[in-house]
Amino acid sequence: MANLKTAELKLWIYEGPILSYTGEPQYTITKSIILGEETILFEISELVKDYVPLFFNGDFGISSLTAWATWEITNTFDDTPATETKTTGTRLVTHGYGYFEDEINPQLLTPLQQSNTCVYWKKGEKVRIPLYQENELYSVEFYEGGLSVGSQSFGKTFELLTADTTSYTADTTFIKADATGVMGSNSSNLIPNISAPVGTDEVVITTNDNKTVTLSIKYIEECKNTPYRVTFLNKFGSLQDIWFFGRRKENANVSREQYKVNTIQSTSTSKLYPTYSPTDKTFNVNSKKALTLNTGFICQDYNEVIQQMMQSEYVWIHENNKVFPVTPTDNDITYKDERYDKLLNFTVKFEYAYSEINNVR
Amino acid sequence: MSDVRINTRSPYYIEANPTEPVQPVIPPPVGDEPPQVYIDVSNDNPYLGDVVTLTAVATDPDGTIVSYEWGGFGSGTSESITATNTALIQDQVFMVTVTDNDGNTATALATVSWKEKPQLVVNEDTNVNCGDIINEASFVGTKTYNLIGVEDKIGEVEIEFLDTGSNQDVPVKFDITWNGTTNTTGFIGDSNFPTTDPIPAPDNTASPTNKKQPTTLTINKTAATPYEVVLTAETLFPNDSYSFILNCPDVEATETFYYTLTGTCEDGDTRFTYTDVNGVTQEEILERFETRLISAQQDTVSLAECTGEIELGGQSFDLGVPEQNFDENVEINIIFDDSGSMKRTLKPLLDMADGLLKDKLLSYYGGDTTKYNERVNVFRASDFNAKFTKLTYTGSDTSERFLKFASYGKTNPQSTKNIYLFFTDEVQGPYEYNRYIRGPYYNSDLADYRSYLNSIQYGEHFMRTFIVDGQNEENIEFLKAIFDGLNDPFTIGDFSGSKGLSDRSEVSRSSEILEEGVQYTYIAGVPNPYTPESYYYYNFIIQALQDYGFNI
Repeated sequence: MANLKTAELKLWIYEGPILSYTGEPQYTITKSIILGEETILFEISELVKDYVPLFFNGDFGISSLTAWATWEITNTFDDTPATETKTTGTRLVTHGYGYFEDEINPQLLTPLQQSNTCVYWKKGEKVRIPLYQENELYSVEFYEGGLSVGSQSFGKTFELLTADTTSYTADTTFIKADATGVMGSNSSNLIPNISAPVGTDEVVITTNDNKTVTLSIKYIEECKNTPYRVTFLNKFGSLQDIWFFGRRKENANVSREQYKVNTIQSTSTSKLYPTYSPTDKTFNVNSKKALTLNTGFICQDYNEVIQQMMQSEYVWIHENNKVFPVTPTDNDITYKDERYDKLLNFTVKFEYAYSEINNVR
Repeated sequence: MSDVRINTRSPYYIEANPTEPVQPVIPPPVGDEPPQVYIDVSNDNPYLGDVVTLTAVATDPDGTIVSYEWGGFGSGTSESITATNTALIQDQVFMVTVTDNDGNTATALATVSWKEKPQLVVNEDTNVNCGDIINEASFVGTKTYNLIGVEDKIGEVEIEFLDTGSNQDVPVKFDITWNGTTNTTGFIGDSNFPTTDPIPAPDNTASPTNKKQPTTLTINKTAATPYEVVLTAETLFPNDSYSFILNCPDVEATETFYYTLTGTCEDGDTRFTYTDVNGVTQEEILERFETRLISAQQDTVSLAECTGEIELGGQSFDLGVPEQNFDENVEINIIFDDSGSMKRTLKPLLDMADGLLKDKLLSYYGGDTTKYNERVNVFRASDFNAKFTKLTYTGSDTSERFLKFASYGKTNPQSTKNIYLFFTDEVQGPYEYNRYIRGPYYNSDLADYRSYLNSIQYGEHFMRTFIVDGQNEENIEFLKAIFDGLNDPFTIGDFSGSKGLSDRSEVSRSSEILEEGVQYTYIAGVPNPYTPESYYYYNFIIQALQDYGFNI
């Protein structure tokens, strides 16, 4: 019996329709089998990451966060003449991550692409919810005071699945075939940003197996402070918003360097130190601006949301109809419990991710 | 879950295919071979009245099967028949003959042994104490054992099966349940017991474990409450016997207390350490003048870095509040502040106390209406003051001094427990407990009330204040501050520790505003549109009693 000897990986990463890649692969890697092992593994997420776009300028409709990855592995065996087989695969790529408990190759396929079902939102603003459209999502319905104010359907029902199985010998075959059909759309369409009608206080997400996820939305009308909206790339690789309703504090950290100069002025008739000239000269002045925001009183679900924001590599704050990159500067998160902490307020420190003085040349 | 997605911040592995391509094997040509057949029986040891399906499993190496003939059941092309028997306890032999397209035949036999269906035994529940040994003889059905000896102990509750020397091979399934969680042995006994009916195949563990030592069944009771741990034994056909001993955990619920920590370090943060209810050392780091309420084992809280203050509060119950016994010596004082426009909602409250609540609690007072009326009362706040506290009117609203009212304690000399439930529209009215200057009475009434709480044992007194006024946000914040111990010097002020009531387990506020039913909506000349039904109050009161551990 022949054993696997080497494997050659070709990897394409691209945007647009699925399988629309052309030309040479971004990566070609050849690997020999390690003595004592039966197969060859490639870890590709680090490779893929370099080519996945990340564009967000405040307009959620044109943000770009995903791509396709398609690979072809040529398996070579140690018989003579050498036998070769090929295996291929295509996956959607996001900027998400799994936790240790999610085990190998985390998928994060839940229709709701955020960890909280209790949402605090500024009154009068449209609520935005990140969703994953692929196999699981069937429809989204919006309610205000228990009355339906709109819905959006993504097709496919449990009944359709069973009805169509006559064409296939097993359900799993059908699901795979169907998934290919869905994946034929553009990569960015798989993770839509649904905006709920203004006034929506409950969102019900229905999956294709007739399970529902209910989000409760609590509108806050903050009179005392100006609410700030912060957008970050969450665990699911989706843009998630969190409103900070509480007090905002700002501060700036200014650094400077100095050197000493001799200011003596001498002529043939006089010598003097001019009192209007500094002997301590200042140069290389830099300034970093920081701010502290408070969420106001919110629910316990936000423990996980705040943690994901702190773990995020990309965070923006919305100010003056623009977004500015910021970096959370807190290094530890204390989980809050409604039983002991009663009213939960999270205080988060941020630093703008640029120098206040525009001096980058 | 289907694998369709790569998340770039976590590793994603793809695998080369290690399987060598298989060349198709072309079968050699065959000659005139006879068919082969055997009978698959759904249950070869059924009870009388059961339906058994027999299926002829036939193959022909050089063709196809064209007919099946079941002896005594006719011939045709059906590969399956069903059989039943309602009278005779015997072995019944079935025969099938199959014929292939070449005319060759094969025959198979199968025996079904019918047996009498046993009567199900219904047993009374059995109470089991720690260390009790239970010896059960043969039965069919389900038996329930209430493991009452466990009480509030925490840890592994273990059922240890004993070897009594008698036959213990016939399978029995044991389930142990606590707080909605069930662990099971599956069917245990002889590893060779039948895998078909009467034991459903999915439950058949086919395990080599038996009903003797060292087999055990355990469940981890992680909290003091609920007390109830239940063991059930289920046997589907006559069981021979089993025996077990109840081994209880020996860990009593650890006693913990509330502590209010305050950082006072002038240069940097204050660091505290303490031991929590699970025996784990915890750390709290506070900025100057920042406060935090923690629950810790007694005398374990210490300053690890810089300066700070540690203030001891009342008992805390991280693993569940202890159960309270409701009997004829429990008194309930429901105090209704009728000083504002919510006074029209008093009648539904009175109706509730004389209706739904009476129906619920009367049996605890021996069915004695007179005794119930002595112990359970709805007071207008002004009446309560006139009868008991006798506070003097000094230009402000005495009806809203609920801390002073609660300090009065029991109103019946025979009462062993007193429960105060306040429905108060506001507690800052002109204004006893004004939050900005803390009025003339807040500090003194609070001190009196805490003094009262310190003078009694936990369990003798409980109090809940329901936030009624949904319109006055200032009042809501103030009430929450008292019970939640908020400390914000720039807005609400400092209500942490002994400056409020957050460190006492026996007092609480309603989690929600009761605006649906008794909202204070005073508009001159306009009647209050909210008149609640009596059950509206009832639900809040029953919830409060259950929250404090009364198992009613």
